Amino acid sequence: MFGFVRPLRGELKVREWERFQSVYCGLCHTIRSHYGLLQTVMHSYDCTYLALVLCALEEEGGSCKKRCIMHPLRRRTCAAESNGMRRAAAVSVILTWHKLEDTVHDEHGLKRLGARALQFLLRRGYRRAARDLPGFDTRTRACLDELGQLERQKTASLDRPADAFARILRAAVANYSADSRILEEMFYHTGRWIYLIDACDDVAEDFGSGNYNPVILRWQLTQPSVEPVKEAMNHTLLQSLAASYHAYVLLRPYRDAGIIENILCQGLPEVTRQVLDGTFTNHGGKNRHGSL
Amino acid sequence: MDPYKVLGVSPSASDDEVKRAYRDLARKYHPDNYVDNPLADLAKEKMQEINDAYDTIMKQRQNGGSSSGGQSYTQQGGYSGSYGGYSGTNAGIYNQVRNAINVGNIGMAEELLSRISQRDAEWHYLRAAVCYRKGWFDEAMQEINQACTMAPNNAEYRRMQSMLSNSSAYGGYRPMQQNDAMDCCTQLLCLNCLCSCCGGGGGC
Repeated sequence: MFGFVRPLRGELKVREWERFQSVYCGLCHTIRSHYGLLQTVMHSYDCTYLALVLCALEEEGGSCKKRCIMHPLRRRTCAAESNGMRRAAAVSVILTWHKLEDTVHDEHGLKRLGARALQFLLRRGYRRAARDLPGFDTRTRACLDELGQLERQKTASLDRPADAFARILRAAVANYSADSRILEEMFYHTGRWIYLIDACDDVAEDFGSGNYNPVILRWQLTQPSVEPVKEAMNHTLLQSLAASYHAYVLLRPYRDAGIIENILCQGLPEVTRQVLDGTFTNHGGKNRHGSL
Repeated sequence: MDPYKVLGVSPSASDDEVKRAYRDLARKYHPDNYVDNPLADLAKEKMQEINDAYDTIMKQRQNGGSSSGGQSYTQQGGYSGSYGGYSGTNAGIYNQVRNAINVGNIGMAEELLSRISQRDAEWHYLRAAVCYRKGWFDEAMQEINQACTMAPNNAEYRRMQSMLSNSSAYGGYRPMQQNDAMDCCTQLLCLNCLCSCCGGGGGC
């Protein structure tokens, strides 16, 4: 997705941060063993969050030490493969594929060519993932088609396009476990937040290029900045986070509640603040994936 | 289930610790946080569980001779979010919409609303309720503002407008945005306010 979902690292305990990293590594290994090494190039923290939540609901949760290309010298602790891990892995691969498809559709020149080439390389892994989660694949495609249509119609609404996107995340956890109802609600609201925060982050760029941006259209912005509607956007974004949180607290996680609460109550509000202030940097900071 | 486990405290915890744990949980799952929420039924179950656990512990301790504990929260009204009090041309169909919202059939409520071409304040109010349940918070805000503009004296619309427009819309969710020294003080102040509010009004 977009790399907006992150913990606020300064507020995590050291062992929590290590655990988060081990889930990240564990997911990477799961993707690699099921769908091929190449699929891991687009691996991000967004799906790690999904894996973290799904694994927290499983009674058993172990870890192991593994080596990988990024860390060839020292073996790193990885969260063990499980149902939740496999679900998150398939979701990650399918989302990556559709994101590339979007790029092929929307971009021109080198970017398009690059996306096509990458798609060619990733096609087998994608087919396997789509076979493992056929419902999610079709629903993602349908939602993205709907989203494309709303974009072409220049829909001046925040909620309509956000809804089409959020339903993708809802589908990602559908029919997963007895808690699906709660999970679907939790990830729907996270999805709305991701879509809208991404739109806020793109305001300046889209204002220049004339690309579709729901925030610009909804507020009829006359300058390339989200500044005049900061308060209103902050409110509507935090409402989604609050709804996601109220769903989350109904789950009974076996572990990692501290990390998940950090992400929901600190990491995401902090990202919200940074994006609205214009101080957000996607891959900046100490970490490759830009933890806060 | 072990009532101590439900509250997340050890059996050797003091009465005050039990009370504090109970209060924190009750604040988290309070029906006010789940008004018009599709998961309200689950929150209600959870709240019941917490209330039962607290009552059990306090009863046990009272019988065992330790100090008295106070009573758990009682369920308050306004939870099922019933909409009413309209008598216009569309009263019949609005009633159906209200029923659909109350039983959680949002698709049906939406469908019924879309059939009405004459859109008065009540229509916008009900559509706000539908949007809110779906998590379409921006459109819910727009609709309720519209309803209040068309019928400025309706107390029910005003109530919803104020509920949606300030930070009470976040319920028990407390986003902590920044962690510098200033904020720490503000948080302590807020916490202080909260505790005194709860102590005064919550009956615990």
